[in-house]
Amino acid sequence: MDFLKSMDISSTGMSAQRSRLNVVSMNLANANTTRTEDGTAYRRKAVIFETTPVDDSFEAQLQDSLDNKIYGVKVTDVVPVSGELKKTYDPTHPDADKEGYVSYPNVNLVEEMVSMLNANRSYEANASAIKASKEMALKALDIGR
Amino acid sequence: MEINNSLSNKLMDRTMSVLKKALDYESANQQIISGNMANADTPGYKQMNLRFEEELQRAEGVSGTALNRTDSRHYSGLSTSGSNFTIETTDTDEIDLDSEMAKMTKNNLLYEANSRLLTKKLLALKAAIKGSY
Repeated sequence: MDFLKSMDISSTGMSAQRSRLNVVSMNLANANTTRTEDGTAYRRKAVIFETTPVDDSFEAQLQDSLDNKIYGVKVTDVVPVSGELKKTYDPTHPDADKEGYVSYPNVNLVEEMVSMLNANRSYEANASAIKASKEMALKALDIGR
Repeated sequence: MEINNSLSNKLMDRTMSVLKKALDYESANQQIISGNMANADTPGYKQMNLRFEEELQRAEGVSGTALNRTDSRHYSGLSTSGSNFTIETTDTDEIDLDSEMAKMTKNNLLYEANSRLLTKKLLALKAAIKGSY
């Protein structure tokens, strides 16, 4: 196995966490948005992580090497989360519906903050993995020095 | 004449020219990667990669080998004629900073490894000349 492959894997992890953080920021910024392009209130979004083979060159597939079993991560989709939107009675609001209720996004600030911290810690963990891999390689170069 | 040839073959043999090419490739790659990272926000900038021409040669079946191989999957060495790498401009607008950093780390490690190999080679020559290590 290529000893530098670990860096590619960790870098996919870091990119994925970065995308996750983008979505969290979007949720936080739109926590009170009552009007979107399609007229309804903003609905909280979540990222879908999916494993992706790191080495998808034709040669690796052909040889069915150990590299074939190594997966990184990729953000494949950003999906709205289903569930009830929060309704508040306010007939004076411009976005109130026929009964006078205004729908607010189903964004829970505490949950989003926790998600943000998780993304942060995962990003750091992946960066540490790259650093560890680099140190191992440098130690290997020290053999016989 | 013969003495000169064999001397220059021992001093500047295939190992050194292969290492030289590898070091050239890695310094060029460092510049390409830094260019990608610096232009991450530049509108219209497309990501660039550095490619060994040797890969294309191997795919086409042209052999530029300088080293003997017992298996076709072994590293065949680099031909020492002309420049071996081409800059390939991809279609990606969005530069992924994390993967550029990982590429840069790998590149630095390979540069370090190659330069130490070169040092060892020169030390061996020095030992041969001095008669002691």
